[in-house]
Amino acid sequence: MRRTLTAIGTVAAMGVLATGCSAFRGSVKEKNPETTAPMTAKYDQGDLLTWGKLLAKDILSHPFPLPTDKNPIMVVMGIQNRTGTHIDMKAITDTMSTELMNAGVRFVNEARRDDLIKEQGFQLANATPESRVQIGKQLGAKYMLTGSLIEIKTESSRQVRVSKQEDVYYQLTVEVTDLESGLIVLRKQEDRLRRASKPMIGW
Amino acid sequence: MIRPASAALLLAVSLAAGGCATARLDRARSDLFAGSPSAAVASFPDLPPKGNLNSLLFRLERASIRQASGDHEGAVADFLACADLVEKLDYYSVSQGAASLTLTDWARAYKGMPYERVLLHTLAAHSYLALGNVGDAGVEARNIVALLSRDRDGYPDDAYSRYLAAACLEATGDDDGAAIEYRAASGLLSGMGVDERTGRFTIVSTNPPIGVTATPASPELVCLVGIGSIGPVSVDMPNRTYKASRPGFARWGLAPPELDIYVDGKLVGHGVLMTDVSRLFQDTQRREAAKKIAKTVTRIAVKEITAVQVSKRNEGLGLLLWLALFAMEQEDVRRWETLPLWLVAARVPAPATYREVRLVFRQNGVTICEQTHPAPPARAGRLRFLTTRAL
Repeated sequence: MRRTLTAIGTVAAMGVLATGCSAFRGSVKEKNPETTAPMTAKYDQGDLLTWGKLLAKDILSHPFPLPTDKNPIMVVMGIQNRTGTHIDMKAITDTMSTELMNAGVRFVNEARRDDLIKEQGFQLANATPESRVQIGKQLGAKYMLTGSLIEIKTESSRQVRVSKQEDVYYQLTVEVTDLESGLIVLRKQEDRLRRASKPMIGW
Repeated sequence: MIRPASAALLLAVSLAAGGCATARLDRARSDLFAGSPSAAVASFPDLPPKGNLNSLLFRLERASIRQASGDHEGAVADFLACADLVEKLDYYSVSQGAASLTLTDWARAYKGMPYERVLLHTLAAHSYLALGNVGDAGVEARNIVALLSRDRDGYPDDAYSRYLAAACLEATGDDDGAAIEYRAASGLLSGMGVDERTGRFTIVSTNPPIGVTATPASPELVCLVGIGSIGPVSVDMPNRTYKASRPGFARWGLAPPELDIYVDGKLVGHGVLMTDVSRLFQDTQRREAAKKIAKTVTRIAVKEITAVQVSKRNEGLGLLLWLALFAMEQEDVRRWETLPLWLVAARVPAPATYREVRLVFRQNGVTICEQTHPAPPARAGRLRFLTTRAL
């Protein structure tokens, strides 16, 4: 018994020596936001960057803008959050518009857009599709960027187990509408499914 | 066998967990029950440190007190923190489970009853609508739908939360989702129905439906009103002590008041009682009764055995331990007390532009109180939202 206790004590002491006190100290490390492994199945910075960049690339490879349509003006009318998570949707459109601007697309100033929406008694998220088109035209834009993000969550069924699994699926759809013709000129989608496991029993 | 020192330590820990920190919380609650939300905000204690067994309860109470005082940004922050806490507490704690099985139910972290976990999203949606933010109210609506649509395992459904979720889904363009929730809400009401295509109330009788004058495209005002407070648990409920313990009883009486809605001085419709929160509580207690009885019997047996074992070694200490253990044998009466008692909804025709909405609360034809609100901030398409609380 005493030998066993001594052995356990020795192993514990060696463990502490090997790791030093680092496990008990706070630390800060630089990480790549695009490649850092996710900590939960929920929306995170990796999704923001991946979706923003991928969708901008998808749009530009459509091809968009057409060669006859140099430096078109686009207005961002928001991506509708249809999930059960409060997500900063503007951050996604900001990431996309940055990429699109680098390719020559020009954007209506968002403060001007918001002023006009406010004048008409709306908020961007509450504006109807008709009023969005109308506002986009008034702002002198040729194209309007809209979209929606949906989320489907599935949890493992109730049974005797020590951990719970959850699948979280997101699908982001982005549309570009020609404000003159009212036609959707392109629609792109990105999706991802992530599974997380969570312990159901703890200390 | 449990050692006396260990028993004393466990006792001290559990008493500390119950704590006297709730005294200030009780004062803040009383201020709200008395109709003074600003005094409740002022007397509210600091939140307990992280890991406290009552962290969720404190947050929930602060959220609804802040909401009642008009601090909707603060309320939203607290509701979001509550939703986060509920998720973090969603596991079985071995230490707390053992303590609650041997000492007292108060040794468990408060996780909120199922109806409370739904209503926290409902009230969060109230605050978002009060801030004019229909998009985020829609997010809360989807959380309500997710919670109420999963297997409820015998716990009660909530017509008001479903109706609010439906209206928010409709406002954010999800007409199919809204129709499902309107239908579900309708199925929970008696003597009243909800048209799943329009969200309007219909009386299931020969009377003409309320709101019949509204055309499909005309603007409508959705009023979402919380009345009174559910208050502390009265152990003798629903016997005669029930009336005396009910906060706001002197004002509201036992029955929910009638609600008349005036837009720019013109009567446009009436409120419909959709949820009696005390019924949700009672149904929840009924659902948990068998589990509670089994647990209490086990705990009493464990305490008895422990005290007998100790008294075999030291009779005096055994008696003291017996007294201490059974002094802890008190029912866990924690609940979100500042929740509204009645949840009332109305959907009435409204002109495209108007100055004010007046809500008149009447009991047996006598006006109990009135509220006047400027044109509601939340607007989506033809829907306008007004959320409020009458204390």
